[in-house]
Amino acid sequence: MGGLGLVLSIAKDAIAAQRYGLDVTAHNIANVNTEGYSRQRLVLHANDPAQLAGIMFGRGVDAYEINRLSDQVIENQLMQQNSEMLSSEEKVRYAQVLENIFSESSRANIGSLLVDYWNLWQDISNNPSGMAERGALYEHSVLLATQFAGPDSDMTQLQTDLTLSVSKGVERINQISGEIAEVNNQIVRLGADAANDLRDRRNILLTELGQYIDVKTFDQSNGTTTVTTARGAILVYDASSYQLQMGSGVNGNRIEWVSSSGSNIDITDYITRGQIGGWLDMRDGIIAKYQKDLDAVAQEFIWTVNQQHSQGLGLKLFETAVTGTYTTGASELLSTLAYGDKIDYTKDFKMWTYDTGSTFPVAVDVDMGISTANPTFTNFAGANSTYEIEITQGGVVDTDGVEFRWRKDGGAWTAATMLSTATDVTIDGSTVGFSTGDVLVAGNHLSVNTVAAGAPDPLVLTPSGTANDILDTYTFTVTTGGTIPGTPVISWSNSTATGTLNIAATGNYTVDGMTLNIASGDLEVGDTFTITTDASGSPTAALPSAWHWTLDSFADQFNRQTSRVTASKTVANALTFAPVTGGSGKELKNFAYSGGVTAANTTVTIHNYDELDTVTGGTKFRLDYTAGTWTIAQGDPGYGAIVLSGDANGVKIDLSGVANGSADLSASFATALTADGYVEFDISAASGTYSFAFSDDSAQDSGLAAALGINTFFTGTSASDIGINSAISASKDNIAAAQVNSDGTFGVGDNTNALAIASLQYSARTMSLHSVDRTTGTAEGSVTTTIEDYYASLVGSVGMISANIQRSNDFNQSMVNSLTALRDNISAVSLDEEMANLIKYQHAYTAAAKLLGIVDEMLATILQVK
Amino acid sequence: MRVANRTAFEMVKYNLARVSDELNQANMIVSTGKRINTPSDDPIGLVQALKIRSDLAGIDQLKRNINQGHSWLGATENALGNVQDQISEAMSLAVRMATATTGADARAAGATIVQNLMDEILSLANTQIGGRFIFAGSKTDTRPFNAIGTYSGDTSPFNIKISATETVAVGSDGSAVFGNIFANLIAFRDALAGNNVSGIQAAIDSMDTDFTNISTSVSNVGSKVNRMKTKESIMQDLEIIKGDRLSKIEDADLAEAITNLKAKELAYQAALTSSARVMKLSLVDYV
Repeated sequence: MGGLGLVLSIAKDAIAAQRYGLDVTAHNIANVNTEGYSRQRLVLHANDPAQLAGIMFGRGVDAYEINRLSDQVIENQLMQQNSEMLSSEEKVRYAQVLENIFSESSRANIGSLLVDYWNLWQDISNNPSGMAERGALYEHSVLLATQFAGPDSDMTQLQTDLTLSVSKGVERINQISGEIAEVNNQIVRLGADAANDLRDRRNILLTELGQYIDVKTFDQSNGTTTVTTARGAILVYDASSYQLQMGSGVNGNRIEWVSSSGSNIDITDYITRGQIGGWLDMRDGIIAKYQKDLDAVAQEFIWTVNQQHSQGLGLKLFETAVTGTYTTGASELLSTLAYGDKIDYTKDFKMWTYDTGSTFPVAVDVDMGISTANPTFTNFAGANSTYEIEITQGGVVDTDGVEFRWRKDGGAWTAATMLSTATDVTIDGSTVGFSTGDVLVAGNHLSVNTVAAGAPDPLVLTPSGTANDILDTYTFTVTTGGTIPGTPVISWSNSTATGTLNIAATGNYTVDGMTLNIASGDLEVGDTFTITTDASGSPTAALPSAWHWTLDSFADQFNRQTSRVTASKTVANALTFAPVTGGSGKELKNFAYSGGVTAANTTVTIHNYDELDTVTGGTKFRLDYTAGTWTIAQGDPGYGAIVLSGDANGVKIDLSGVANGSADLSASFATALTADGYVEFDISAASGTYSFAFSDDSAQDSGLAAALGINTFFTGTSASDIGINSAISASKDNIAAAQVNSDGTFGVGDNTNALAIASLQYSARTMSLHSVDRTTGTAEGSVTTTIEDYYASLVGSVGMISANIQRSNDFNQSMVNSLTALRDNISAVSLDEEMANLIKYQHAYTAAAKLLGIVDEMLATILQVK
Repeated sequence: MRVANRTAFEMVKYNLARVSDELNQANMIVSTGKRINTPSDDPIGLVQALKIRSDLAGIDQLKRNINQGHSWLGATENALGNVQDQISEAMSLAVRMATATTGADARAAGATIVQNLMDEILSLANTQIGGRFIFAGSKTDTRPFNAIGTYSGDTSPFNIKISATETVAVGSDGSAVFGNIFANLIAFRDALAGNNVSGIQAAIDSMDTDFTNISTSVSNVGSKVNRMKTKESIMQDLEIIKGDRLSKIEDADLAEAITNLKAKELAYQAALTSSARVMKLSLVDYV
């Protein structure tokens, strides 16, 4: 076709094309404010030319396609950055909440309450017997305990809220994944090229998905997009979507990906972006850290105060039973007490006892030492049994006589004696051997399991490496018995974690970062041992077959040393001290000193109170020190007492006179005697009522009373459970401002302990400092500082973290802004531009219409030719 | 470069939000007068501020302790001063009574005077502050001396805390302070009653020793008072210095804060004006 017909056709196409142009412009203008809309553009092509009369003529315009101005690379970058920003935005929001929790603006914050707490002790030190001061301290302490619990429960609440938000987010993610799969499906149906607005829609959905969680996209050749999230989990593939869900039970706060096979994969710790990434960072990272740190400072504060308080004396002596606030595990091991690792076994437990009928206080001083002896065993009579051995009278092997008691499988105790000239003792057929010079400490306990033929098979285990939790106790309990290697199962727990070991083979086992080399041993169900870690996480094991203390062994040893107060284990595995009422038997009532032997220089210890009952006849006997030797003088008839050994540093006496060489009573001197003198013991029938108090001897205090929770100020072990000892709530008299003098006398107007407690404000303690990273786990370090400074740094660090999050959020925000500007520069609608296009198309339309008119005129002209 | 309408509007929104946030911050500083309103405003400053506030509370407490100490030491000084007076009176009495011209009757009358002096000293030895005995060692709730001067307190004197690490004994071990005064006075009294001249002469010597002992105690107390006064003035200085530092860390420099507020206000106005201008412009109006 040629001639006017061609022009007419060109005009017709041009009119249509320009009108399309107007349509596209109108669509753009209409969507000027549509989120995620990419402006569209009409693509016009000149039609292929045609040859006419040997000349190539153009054939007008063709509206080729409408395309979308969009750069997918920038779209993806924007989506990622947006995802990042939403993560940090959420963190900013919750960091501000965290800052409010630790706000120091009010007077009732922990920092200033701590300062006031110490100051109130100083007030008490200024007026030790003042009830107003004691009342003020008590009320303040209640407030302090409440305030410690406040941030802790606020943080726990925050974590609960965050989990709720996470689960809401997961629901939304599932909806969006479904919608993206649907859009994929439509794009496939309409054809990959024909779906401008669907692509925009998909981009919007992906951006929204990115607001919640990490998103990665892969464009497929059929026009669909594959979407994956954290840990490479697929959310959308082609036209199908995969679900995320919250875990169940203990994993209720975890996010799981549900595969098509139905198996679930935990992806929680891999999620770093989007709101959920932010929420998880707060919940499992930042908040978790501050909860742990707050617990660490509360734990040390409780111990610090309790340790000093337990060495003090209130306004009156204890006249009724006192029960500890802390309990051991079922094993009764002292090392399983909450503060068991704080007990200093190189020191003593000391209590002063008072008899209303006697002016002389008597000290009970239990040496809390751990025997140095590493015993060897030959076969026992009992096969497949558990033998428990306790030292009832200690001493140095091959120098002193040592008395033991043993029992098999929890049966009755049997006594056994090792003479002062021997290095072994026979226990139910087994020769238990020691080395000359080994120190055996009364009250120490151990247990050995035997296998066939009564062969002893103690657990041989060596810990090494570095544990994840420092300054902590790991308790191991055998849940399935058996001989190693084989079927034994040991479960373990510490303050933060639990686990199980199946000892199928000998060799190395990893427990919470440390390595346990397990070589051999026969284990019974319930066997328990502990491993404690120091400030650098280095482990030390206390095995059943090594000497250790249990509640019972301590109570029994204590009871051997006094007849005035009875120690016993409660059903709940706490310890009770109760004064004896109307006691029977003999008791040591008085001492008298003369010459070079003075009260201040002398410590008298009774190792076996029962032996006093063997004393018959009179009530007094005297030990004379003359020219370096000790003799019993004025021994009333009936005394079989003999001096076992004695010099200027001390003297040991066997009251029963049985020549096994173990001392029932001893006196030692702080400084060696330089002059002759004597000490006289007044032993008489027990009578009267008794009361007791705890020692002032801080240099020798093992911390046992504090670890048992006896005569302590606070209860609990963490920020959430810190409370006041009920003994103090019941009577403010029990606030221990005073200390017992070294001779057992005391003054209720004394303020020594109050001063000591007030000084703790300035005492540097070693406390755990946590850094919690969701992906790499918790790292625990330690810092040595005062309680107050630790707390101040904690608040400072909350501020620091919040400030950092704000800064990174500002950065993310500006990144998103510039990427958005970049994206909008390409894709968003400019009305100015559209207005220009409008006019452009309008003019072209007018011109094309004009063309039509001209062709019309030309046709008319031709038609008029005659 | 083309600028989309969205970009222009979003930028206006973002910038206005940013400037108004800064304005709000500036306003917060001026209206609270504090530089640090949340921990993140200055975490390091906050930790320092917490430390100083704790120090200040500690100083406050120590000042209270020292006040308490002053009242104890003041009472001690007073009591010992009076004891010195009584002893010198007893000594001059002894000198008079030792003369050969003094008769047995006069000496018997003197014995009554000595008893009165001793009662006086006993009551001084049982001095109380706020219901607590200052010469009883740590047994501040029990009367330390009975009618014949037997001591029932203990040897560890009552201490107060005057700094993080120091305590000072403000109470006294009565047995050390009064030594043999009562025994000596009783001996003197009995010597007078028994008209025992050599006993009276011995009493002069022993009371001289007592007087010296008390004088030593008085000067000890004096040096303690001085020590506490020094501490007190150090603490007052510290309080001012630390208070000043705290204020520098925590408090806003008002002139600076207000200038800053003005600057932010201006920036906000400028942003508003320019935004309004830009938003009004569109080709639509010209076509």
